[in-house]
Parts: sequence; structure tokens; C-alpha cells
Amino acid sequence: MSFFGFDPSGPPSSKSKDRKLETYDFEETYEGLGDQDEDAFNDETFGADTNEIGTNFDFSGGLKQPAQSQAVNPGLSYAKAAQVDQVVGPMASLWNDEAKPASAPSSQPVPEQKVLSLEEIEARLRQPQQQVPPVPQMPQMNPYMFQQQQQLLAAAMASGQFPNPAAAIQALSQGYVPSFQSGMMPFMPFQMQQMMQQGAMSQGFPNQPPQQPPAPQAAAAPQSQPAQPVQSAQPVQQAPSAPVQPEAPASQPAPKEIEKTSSPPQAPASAPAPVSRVTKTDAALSGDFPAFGSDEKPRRPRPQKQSLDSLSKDEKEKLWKRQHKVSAIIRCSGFMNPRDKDFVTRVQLSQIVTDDPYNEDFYCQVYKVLNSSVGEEDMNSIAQKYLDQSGHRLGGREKRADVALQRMQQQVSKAVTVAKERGERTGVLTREGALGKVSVSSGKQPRRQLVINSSEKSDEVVVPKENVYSKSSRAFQLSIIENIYSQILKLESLEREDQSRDSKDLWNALRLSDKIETSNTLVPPFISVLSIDKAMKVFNRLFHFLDSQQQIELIEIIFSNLQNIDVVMKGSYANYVESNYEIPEAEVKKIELFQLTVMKTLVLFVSESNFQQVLRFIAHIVENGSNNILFLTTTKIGLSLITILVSRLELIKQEYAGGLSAQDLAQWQTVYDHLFQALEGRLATIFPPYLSNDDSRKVRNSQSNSDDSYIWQFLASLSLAGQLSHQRIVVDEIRNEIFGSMGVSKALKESGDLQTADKHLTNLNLFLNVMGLKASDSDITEL
Amino acid sequence: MLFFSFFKTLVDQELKHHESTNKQLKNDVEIKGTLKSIDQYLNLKLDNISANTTKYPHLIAVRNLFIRGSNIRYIHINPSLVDTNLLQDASRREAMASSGDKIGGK
Repeated sequence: MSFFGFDPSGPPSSKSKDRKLETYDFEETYEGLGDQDEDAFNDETFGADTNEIGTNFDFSGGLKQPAQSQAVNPGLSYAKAAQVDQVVGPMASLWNDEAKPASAPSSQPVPEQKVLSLEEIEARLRQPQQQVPPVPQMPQMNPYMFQQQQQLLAAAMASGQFPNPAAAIQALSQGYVPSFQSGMMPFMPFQMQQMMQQGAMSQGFPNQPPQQPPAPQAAAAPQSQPAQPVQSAQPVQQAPSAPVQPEAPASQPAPKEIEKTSSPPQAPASAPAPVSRVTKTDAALSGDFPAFGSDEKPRRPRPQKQSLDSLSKDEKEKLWKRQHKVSAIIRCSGFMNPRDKDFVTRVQLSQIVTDDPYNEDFYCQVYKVLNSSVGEEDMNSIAQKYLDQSGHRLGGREKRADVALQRMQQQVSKAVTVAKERGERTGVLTREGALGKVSVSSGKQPRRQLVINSSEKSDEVVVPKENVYSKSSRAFQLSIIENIYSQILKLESLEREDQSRDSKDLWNALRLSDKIETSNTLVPPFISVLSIDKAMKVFNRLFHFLDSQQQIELIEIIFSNLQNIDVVMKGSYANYVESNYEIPEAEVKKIELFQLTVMKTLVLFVSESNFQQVLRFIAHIVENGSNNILFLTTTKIGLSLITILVSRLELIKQEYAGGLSAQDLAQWQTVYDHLFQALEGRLATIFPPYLSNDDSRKVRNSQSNSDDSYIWQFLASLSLAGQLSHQRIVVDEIRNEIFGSMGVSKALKESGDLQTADKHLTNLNLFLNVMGLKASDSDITEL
Repeated sequence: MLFFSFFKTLVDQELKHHESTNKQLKNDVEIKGTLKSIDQYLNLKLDNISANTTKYPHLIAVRNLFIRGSNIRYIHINPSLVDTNLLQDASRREAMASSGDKIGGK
């Protein structure tokens, strides 16, 4: 039975020999594999044993017999066979066939080579150049050299000038360079080439191309050795092929055996030598080259150190420290080019900026406008802030900080442009038949993973939310309010941009012509929602956007439905007879909110309205009947509003008496008479029992200490508008309250609470002063 | 973006008013500090932090820190720093924008 083509019976020969191996268990197969010190290819990977590698890593030209692959021991299991490194030999297998014949003719003896560690090589390179370096060792070349050699070899072979790889290798070792069209290594990035070049230089290839005349620098070399200008193994970017490292390599004695190999010039090798090799000279390379393994950092210090040998120890130390510091700074510099930096900055900025701050950053934008005198944030301040926060000081010095800021401003505007161009790309993927859309999270929507398809077909008639809910439900009321809010937000947006606005949509959103059924009557929906907190809160903003005709209409509707507004209705003490007239705390809070929001707006409007207008308002209240008036006077809001209307009318009447027509005055008289008749005989009921000081009525509860001035203000305005007969009736009806209040004030004064006592008297005198009277804690006198 | 926008207004408030925000992480560590920076993932940078160092002594030497937003359970904010009405309007605007009824201007 075959399992993935694997023959479980093991190697065929083993079957007959050893049947035990047919059963594989863990112990036999993998035991000990992990215990082994070395991996199967450690040697090949790390080059510890160069003899085992074969010819392919030997580029010295000194080729030797590759190790013969072992015959597989038929008794081995597969797992055991895997431990034998020679079996597979991936690198060796690449050229094995060709390398083998080539190894025979190369009679060059491989010099006995000591294996050096990388550190040792570096250390040697840094040593004073007088020391004789060892023979360059090919297998120990730095990786770039390695790669370079292989690529060169491949290129040379590709050029078809060599009969076999061995010949090519040899040619290469003697300085042959395959001619590339541009003179550059086409398959390597520039930087790598540079590094390779440096590496090659410092490695000091002592190969002299046969047709190369000795470089002039060779003569300058003071050493007695035969001139041995070093040639870079590879002409990078048409670099001269006879570069001479001025100090170091010239002093090196040429290793004997390499000289030998270079002496018989290979005919094919010399032929394709590019012209540039000869003509280009060493001018470009006459500078000092850094040692292998040292890039920018040690390059400078070295010649300086050498030239400053005479310096004192202190100075050296100082210099060394400085060099160290500089090298620490530049060690990681240049990893990103300016384009990279721009890109990263733009990515970061694109998270910060938006072309639509008032939708995506509304809170922050408006909050800043509301809470600071500076005003809105423009792009320049974004750029400035980014610079400050990120710690970028691109300029370094102050004069260049401006440049940095300018650059950053450009970046910001670029980022905004990109954001605009990107437009409405939402990053939402829709799959056919999926319940929702898979959303790719972005900077703007970090967490949104699934967007549920709300409406499959857009051609369906969209039913407005207000019509979906039952008209008596709270959801319906809330949807009306939210609709109003939406309209207001739109209008406010237009207002901020100084554009013309139309209040029609908002007016329609109020749905004043609609009627809905509440518990006891039919009212416009807006009246029914006016007792919800957020509707009260929006009233002022809403009122602001209505034109004057709409404002008047709205207020008239409010006054004629005053008793139907929930917060007014529930604010009457008459509702709470059973609970000791205790108005629930929630209602008290709502009443306060109503006073702060809706009533404030109404009062402001009434205080600027003309006589006829105010008269019409109060007529709306009065025409609902005396029961209605009586009910309203038991509520704080109702009583306060009536007070305001009456006193406004009286104020206009007294100030502009001449400007009012007799008809207006007569109409006002009629309305007042209606009002007074409704209250006559029941005036005492305007005092909630918990605020009453009449011994026969008074009840004490938690609200007894609240302010009763609104009652006395109403009585004052009622008396002010009436004639003496009216005043007499009023005083008569509330006589008990007046004397009760005086008594309380006296008692408080005796108990030492002068402030509260004073307050009681002040409130009482609000009313009494209208009639020319003044109360003290003991008696009432004329003013 | 609403919460990002909201927290942006709390950055550096502390410097002026000596108020501070108080964070509770999902691993029950409570940290108090000045909000220095925030990003759209609600990652925070805090300065001048204080924590229960008897329980978490490894925080003794820490003056400022970066908290990944997903690790935060609660953030306690001084109520006076929050404009609730504005916050409501901002969420309404965002809801309008996402439902397609986007307000074009400011």
C-alpha cells in the first residue's frame, strides 16, 4: 500500500535482510536526531570543513577533487539516510557534472589554508599595512564577494568564451571581467556593488591582468616589492580596471602561487576585455578606500589616526570620542531616502487631517471654537502642531525651522488633497448573498467590521420613521425630535457658512398642523413632545431659525395648548392631593428645565412683542374657558406665563398710553375681566397648600421651603391691571395668606432667621406695594 | 472618529486646570495621569502617572506610558470637561453622515 507514494516497506534490499525495520516507531526513526550536535549540512553552511564542500565554492582556480558521494547503504532507514550529508549536497549538485572533468586538468596545488574567522580577517585588515597579509582565501570571502564571484562566473560562462567552468574560473581569477553592456552589474543594486567594490579593494586582489600596464602609483610605492597594483576584481560602473590603492596593497608582497597562475595568460580572457578597462585610469580610485567590513564609520578615523599619531593622548582621546559620537549618529542615517520619509509623514498626516472636519471631527472643532478665543484650527496650525508633537526638528537650527514648517505645510495640503481625491471610498466589500458587508478597517473606522445591509433595494418607497411608529408611542415622539434636530443641524451648518437658509423643512418637521391623540385631547405632535427633555433643550435653537411669522404662530399654538403640555399638566399641585401635594422630583426637574429653556425663550419674545400681539397670546389662554384658567393658576409655569403676559400689557399701557387705540384697550379690558371672573372667589387656590400660610389650608412637605415669589408676582400684576374694586377683592380673598406670611416672618425673626423672614416680607410687599401698602412683621402701613 | 474627536479635546487640559483623567485597564490596573496624546485607535499617551504602587510595584519608576486602546476598560473624566449637548450633536451629525444624509458644509 502506498501512502503518498511512499513505500512503507523501506529500501527494497532491507526487506530481505532485516524485517524488523519494516515497522517504524518513533524511537527508531527520529531518536537521536535532535541530540546530534550538528545539523546535516552544518559543514557546508558554515564552511567549517572546506574539503567536504566540493569544487563549487572554490573560486581560486585551484580546484580539487570533489568528494565522491557515498553509496547509500541499503540497510539504512530513510531517517538515518537523511543524516548523511553527502547524499543530497544541494549546492554541489548544481555543477557537479561539469566540474568533475575540469578538476582533472587543473594541476594547481591548493595551498594549505588556515581558516580565519570574520573577526580575524577584520582585525588583520585594520592592522598597519606593513604586515604581510595572508593569501586571500576564497572560501572565506565576505558574502558579497562570494555572490559577485558566482555572478561573474555565470556571466563569463554565458558569454560562451570558455570551454568549461574551470576555464572560466581560472580566467576570472586572473582578472578577466565579462563585458557587461553598461559596465555595471545588471543584477545587483548599486549599493551592493559599492560594498563589493570596497570589499574587493580591501581584500586586495593581487591579480595583474597581463595586458595591463603598471599603474603609475605603483612607482610611488616605496616598498621594494615588485610593483603590484591591485586591480579591482570587477569594474563597477565602468570603474577603471587598474585601480591602485595607494598605501595598503602596494606594500603587499604578491603571493607566489597566484603569480604563477596569472602568468600564462588565457587567450580568451584577454580578448573580450572592455576598452574602458584600459583607457579609464585610476583617477577615480586614487582616494583611500575603506577597509573591508568597515563602511562609513571607520573610514575617516583611520587615516586621521594615522596622520595624527603625533597628537597627545588627550587629543587622541578627544578625537576618538568625537569620532565615536559621529559614528553613532550616522550609523543609522540614510536608511530612508527623502521620498521614504515623505511617504511616512504623509501616511501619518493622512490620519490627522481630513477634508471634512465638521463631519468627522465635529466635536473637537466646535469645542475648540466654543472654548478658546483662538478660533478654528487651520492647516498651518496642524503642521505646526505635528512638528511640535512628533519632535521633528527637521531644521535643526531656528532659521531652518521655518523651512521645516513650510515643508510640513506642503505635506498637510498634499495629504488633504489625497484625502479629497480618495473621496467616498469606504473600504466596504460586498459579497453576493452575504448578510452584511465586510468592512476593511481604516484609520477613520478602526473597528467597524461588518456593515449590515439596511435596504436591499433602493427603489422601495422609504417610509418616514414618523409614520412607521404608532402616533401615540414614545418612539414616534422621539423620531419627531430627532428629525427636528437633523433640520437644525443642517440650518446651523448653513449659518456657519453664511449661506441663505430656508426654514420650511424645519417648520414641516414640527408637524404643527398634525393632530395626535393624547390621553384627553387632540394636540399637535410638537406639543406632545415638548415635555421631553431634549425637545425642551432644542427649543431655543429651533426658535432662532424660524421667521417671525412662524415664531408667532408657534407661540400662539403653545399658549392655546398650554394646559396640554405634559410638563405644565403634571406640575399642578391638584394632581397630588393623595401624596400630600408632593410633586414628584422628576417633574420638578422638568419644570425647572422648562423654565430655563422654553419659558426663557417665550419671555424674551413676549418682552419684545407689541401690545396687540401680547393681547392675542393671553386671549388664547383665556378663551379656553375659566376652568382652564383655574387649572393653569395651580401650576407654576402657567401662573408665571400669565403673570408675564399681564405685566407686559400693563407696562406698554402705562408707557405708551397715547399710542394705543381705544379698541385695543377695550379688548384688553374684556380679556382681563374674563381672567378675573375665572379666578374670583377661588383666588386662594393659586397658593399651593405646601406654600400656603393660611392655617386652614396649609400643608407642609419637602417643597414648602421653595420660593413663592411667583405667586405674589402674579397677584401684583393682577392688581396692577385691575381697578380698585379688583384689588379689594384680591386682598379680601387672600387676607389669610397675607397675615399668615407676616406671622411666619415674625416667627422667623424671633427665632433669629432674619434672612428668611426678610424674604417673606419682600415677596409680600411685591404685591402690597402695587396698592400703595407696605407690610412689616407686625402691621401693614401705607407707603 | 467621534471618540477620537472627543478625546482630542481632553489633551493637555490637565496642564491648565490640574484635572486628570483616570483610566482603568482590563487587567484591573488603575492609572491616573495627564492625557498627552491620543490616536484614532484610542491608544493613549499618559504623563505624570500615578497608580497603586503597593500592588503594582513595577509602576513605581514609570512616569509616562503608552497604553494600547484595546486594553482600556474605563476612562474616568471630569464631567465639567464634557459638553454633552455638543457630544449629542456630534453623534447626530455622524449618524446623519453614515445614513447618507450628510451635511455638506461646516
